[in-house]
Amino acid sequence: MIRLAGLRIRALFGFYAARIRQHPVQEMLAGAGIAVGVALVYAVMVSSASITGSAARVVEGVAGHAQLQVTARSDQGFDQRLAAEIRALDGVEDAAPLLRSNVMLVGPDGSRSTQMVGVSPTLAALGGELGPILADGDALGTGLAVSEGVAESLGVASGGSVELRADGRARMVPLSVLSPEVGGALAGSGAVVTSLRLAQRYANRDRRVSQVLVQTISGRRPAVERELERLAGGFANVTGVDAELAALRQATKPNDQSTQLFAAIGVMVGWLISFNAMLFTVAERRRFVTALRLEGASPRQPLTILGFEALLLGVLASGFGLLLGELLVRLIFDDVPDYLAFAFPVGSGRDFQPSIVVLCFLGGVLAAGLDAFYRGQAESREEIAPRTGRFLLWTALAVVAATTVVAVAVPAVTIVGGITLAVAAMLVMPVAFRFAAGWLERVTGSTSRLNMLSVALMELRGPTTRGVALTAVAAVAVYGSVAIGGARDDIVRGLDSHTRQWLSNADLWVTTGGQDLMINSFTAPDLDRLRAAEAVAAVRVHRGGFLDIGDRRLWLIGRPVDSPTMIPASQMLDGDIEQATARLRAGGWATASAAFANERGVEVGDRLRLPTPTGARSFRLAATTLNFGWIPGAVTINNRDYADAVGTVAPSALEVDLAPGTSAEAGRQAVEAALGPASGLTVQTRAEREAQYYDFGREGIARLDQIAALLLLAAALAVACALAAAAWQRRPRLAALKIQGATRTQLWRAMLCEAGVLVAIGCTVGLTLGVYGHLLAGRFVRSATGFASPFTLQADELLLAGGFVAVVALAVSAIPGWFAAGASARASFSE
Amino acid sequence: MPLLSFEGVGKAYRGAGVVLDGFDLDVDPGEFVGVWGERRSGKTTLLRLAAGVEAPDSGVVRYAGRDLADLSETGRSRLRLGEIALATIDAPSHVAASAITVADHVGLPLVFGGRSQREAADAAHRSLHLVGAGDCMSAAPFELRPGEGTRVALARALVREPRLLLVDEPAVTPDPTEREEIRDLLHQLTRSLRVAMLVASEEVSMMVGAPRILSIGDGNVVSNETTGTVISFPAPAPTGDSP
Amino acid sequence: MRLELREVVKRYRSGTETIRAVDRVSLTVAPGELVALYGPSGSGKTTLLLTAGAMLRPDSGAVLADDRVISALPESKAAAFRRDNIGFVLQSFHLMDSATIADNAAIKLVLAGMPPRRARRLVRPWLERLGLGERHAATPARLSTGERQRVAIARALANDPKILLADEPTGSLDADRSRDVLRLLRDLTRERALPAIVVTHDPEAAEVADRTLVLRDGRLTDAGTLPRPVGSGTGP
Repeated sequence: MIRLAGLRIRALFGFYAARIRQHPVQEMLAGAGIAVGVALVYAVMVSSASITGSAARVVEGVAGHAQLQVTARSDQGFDQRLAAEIRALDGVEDAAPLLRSNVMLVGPDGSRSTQMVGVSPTLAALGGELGPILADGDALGTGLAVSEGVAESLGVASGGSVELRADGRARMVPLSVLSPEVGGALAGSGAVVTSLRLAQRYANRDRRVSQVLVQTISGRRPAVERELERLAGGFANVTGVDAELAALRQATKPNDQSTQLFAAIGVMVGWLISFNAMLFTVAERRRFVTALRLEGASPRQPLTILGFEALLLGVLASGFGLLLGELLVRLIFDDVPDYLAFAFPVGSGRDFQPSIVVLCFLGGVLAAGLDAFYRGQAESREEIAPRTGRFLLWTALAVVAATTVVAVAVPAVTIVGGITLAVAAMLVMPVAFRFAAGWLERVTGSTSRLNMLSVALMELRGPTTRGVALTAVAAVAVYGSVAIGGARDDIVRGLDSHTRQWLSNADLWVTTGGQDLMINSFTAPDLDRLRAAEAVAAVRVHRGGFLDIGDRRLWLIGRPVDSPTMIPASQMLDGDIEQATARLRAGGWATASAAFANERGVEVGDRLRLPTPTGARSFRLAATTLNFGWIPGAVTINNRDYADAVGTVAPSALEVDLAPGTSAEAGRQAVEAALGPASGLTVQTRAEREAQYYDFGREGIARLDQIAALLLLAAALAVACALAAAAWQRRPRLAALKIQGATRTQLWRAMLCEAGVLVAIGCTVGLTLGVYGHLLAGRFVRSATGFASPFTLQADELLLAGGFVAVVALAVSAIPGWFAAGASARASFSE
Repeated sequence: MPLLSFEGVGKAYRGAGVVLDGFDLDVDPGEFVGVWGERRSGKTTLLRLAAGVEAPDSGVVRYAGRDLADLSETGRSRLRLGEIALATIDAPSHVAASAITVADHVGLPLVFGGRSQREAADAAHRSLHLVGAGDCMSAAPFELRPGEGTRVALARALVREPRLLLVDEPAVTPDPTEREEIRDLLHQLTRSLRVAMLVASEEVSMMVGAPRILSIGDGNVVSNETTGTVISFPAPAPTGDSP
Repeated sequence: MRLELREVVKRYRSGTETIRAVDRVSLTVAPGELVALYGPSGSGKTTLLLTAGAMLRPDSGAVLADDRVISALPESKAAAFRRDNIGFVLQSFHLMDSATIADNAAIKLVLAGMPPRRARRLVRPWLERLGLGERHAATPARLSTGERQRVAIARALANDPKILLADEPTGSLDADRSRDVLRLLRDLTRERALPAIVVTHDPEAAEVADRTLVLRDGRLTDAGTLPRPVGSGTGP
């Protein structure tokens, strides 16, 4: 028989059941608030863990026991004989080569950009997931192997064939389907697996590989690493097998941070909601404790009852919150964001991480406990003293000032300011109340036309804990939406403008297709034939690829020397654009993203060393830029320098200028004709490519929009519930006023005015601090992530955020308000 | 030995002034004492001191010979769960909010004492029958009419089988017939259960039949209808505005 | 104004029973007359009061103020009549916690359409007469029960009512304060020639009333048989 403070567990459950029966709405509201907070934190943690988690699974699945890898510095790869040399090294247990290249698959039902991985039988020795297929002799030797999901999306059955576009050529190849047990995480990630030999043929990389996985004999790793450096260090990267994961994390960090910030604000709103609900019963709870003591309960018993109730509430609410969070993950945070998939081996599928579940669960229970034991110094209906209000105001101003100083001095940490400003929004409330109520009173005092507003103001004159808590919900939610939404809009606007400038260089773009940054090289088609086409005025060779330096997967851009512009003006930071452009054209100079340059301690005019497939190359820095829309950063050189450094003349895109008077469509057809039917290249007009990039850019931040909308809705509903509950509690007083001669309509109007004033105060404070937060967030974005985000205030967006909460809260609370105003006279006689 | 005794007890409240001053009282086991006084005259204070809920400013309150001030908070709580029952009839019962049926409500003190739900329910049934409210058992506490409410409150007090019952304002019901019934019930309970009772009320009619009557307040002497002693107190010092 | 109840009947349902709270009650209260109404709680006194105050509609019979039938008015007109003509003093004051005393007292005037500032000025004399003039800017939370009761009285009187209806006006007060309030009500009733009905348990009220009635089982009887409480009025 378990007892707590002498009470049986069943009795404790009984108390809680009675409590729910008495205050069902308050309990639900309290639980809902906690659930919202838990759901948001869970969804955010799971989704960021999933991206890195799934990538980790892919890497592990392929690498098996290998600890080291040698990776090529461009997609041209390196000679496969290196693999044999590595295997021969002292201390190496086993080594296996791989060829990875980005390809496109086209089937009757759809097309798909993905990565093709060519594996050799030696990979089986490393013990990865692909062992079984490799053991089966010829399974991969006939064509491509994909997962069921990929085959379905293409509309091709196992044994059929699919169009493969690689290296700028298109061909039909046989397709087989891997069952999940066989393909493992790699197939699950949507990649295409085939034999090394076939991959080399399809990708036109004869006798070349992009990666060698190395398993060392126990204890010999450092020595092997040194040997590998000696062997390959001049033209390839020698790293641990999980180097890519670090790069992935670096690339997703800002997005993670902003989502985390939003989740934090969501948690605040959630907690405020439950706090609000609890405030309704705080006085009653005190009376409850007193009454129990009279009955003979020991000092600990009432506290045990309250604590148990808090525990139950916390458990139920957290449980519900986890379910809600799971729903959020499935509905909103579901897919692998494409903007990462082309650059990293991101898988699909979820990691079940018990630690996240437990953490969120405990967090919810803790929140419930905090609520339950709030003692407060005063009754929730008692006024917050002017002195306290002033103190809070000064604290708020101090917080804002500190946040500003930090934002100016250490921009990278500004993201924390997102939370501190939200706290400031809450602290400012009591004074905002007094100010607003006082001002309104002066305005309405001498007129008789706004009398119901005057009646409402009588109730509101003093800020009470309850009133402030209610308004704080609206304020924090609106703040979050405006600050983060505003920053997001700035980013999108910056990206759009960058995209336009970037793509304005040509009328048509010829690439390998798919969502990418033009980093897939291909064998150049007959350029003379292309140039000879009547519609074509000029063709320029654009080169580009990824360069891994440290944790960064940099985008190395080789802009055609004869490009109209070398650097998009919107991306310039340090340096003179005309001079930098001239220098880039001349050669030997580069521009680099400021974050990367700062990391290397390089300023304009200094030398920047880049590890390339042909060895270390140095360039002088002509200018620093923003990040070109790619979080890890970008380095621009001219295409001749690129060919020289990377050791290939292969283009990754062709820029085509059309003859004057030629329509884009006509131009495209002419180019396609010139390329021929066997070409695997995609020809896009500038407009089409722009549209593709727009979607691409927005995708990364789409989920913020969704969270923002949900948050606003939740806050609005919570405010409505709190207003309704307050009105309901007030029925005896409303009835008394009716006896004094008020009509139902008058009372209802007064309640609406009161609700309106409360919500207006909250939304105004939220909007004001939100705009400031937006400003600071923009600063963070620019300096910490390198996105161009010109600060713009969109008045209509502001009104939408604030107005939405106000309208929903008022509309929803108007109905119970009407019923409360209809309280019968008898109600005033019950106490 | 008297079951309850007050020895020179004084109590004052900030705002209300002195409520008791040099107060003496002995209550024997099984004795019925009526306490009459107007509103705010100190009747409730007297009962709360007797139950150990509050401590006197001066003097000693003894139960069964023990000074209540010597007991710990937990010790006094245990007394209230068992031997001393304080039944406050007209206060809104927030404890009622924690129970779903009247039977649960009545059995609460036993639940606090660690007994099982079943034992508490059985005791509640017995107690309710004792006070003539057997048919209220499965009603909800807030559905009761005032007269029934009084009985139920008494039942809850009695479920502990106390030795001392302190009743604060049982005259809540408007119906004079019902009041008489409650009054008679209280007398009958004293006799049949041999429980000492202190009944405080501002209604004179509740004092009828009490072998001993105390008057608190302005020092008026109340004559009683049976033979018995009357005690009166010195009037307390003039009070300020009532809180 | 003269207040008259003619054969008023008011029933309400309690559970499955129908109770006649007011059973064919006829009563005329003349201007300047204070009637004290006793009776067991729940006996229908409150119902009678609310019906007399045009807050509840009688099931049959009529309530007249100066020969004008006020018991059949539509809700908004009845509300206006109450607001302009009746002063209700209730036992549970239901004051607005955050509003000042002046605001609380002036509420009826504001509801009637007077600019709030003017309304607050108009109630000052009442507050002063009730001893609250200095505290007019305080909120009810800082007042004692007696002071809050006085605010409720000021509220009732602020609109210069023609009828005074009070339900347990001394319910939360001690003996001295009760006496003061009852005497005040009597003075006001006489000064302004108001008909007044005071529902009460307080024996003191019988001292100040012109007439004492008892409502039992819905029927009004004279209070001649009311037992005087022992000990009252025989202090040293």
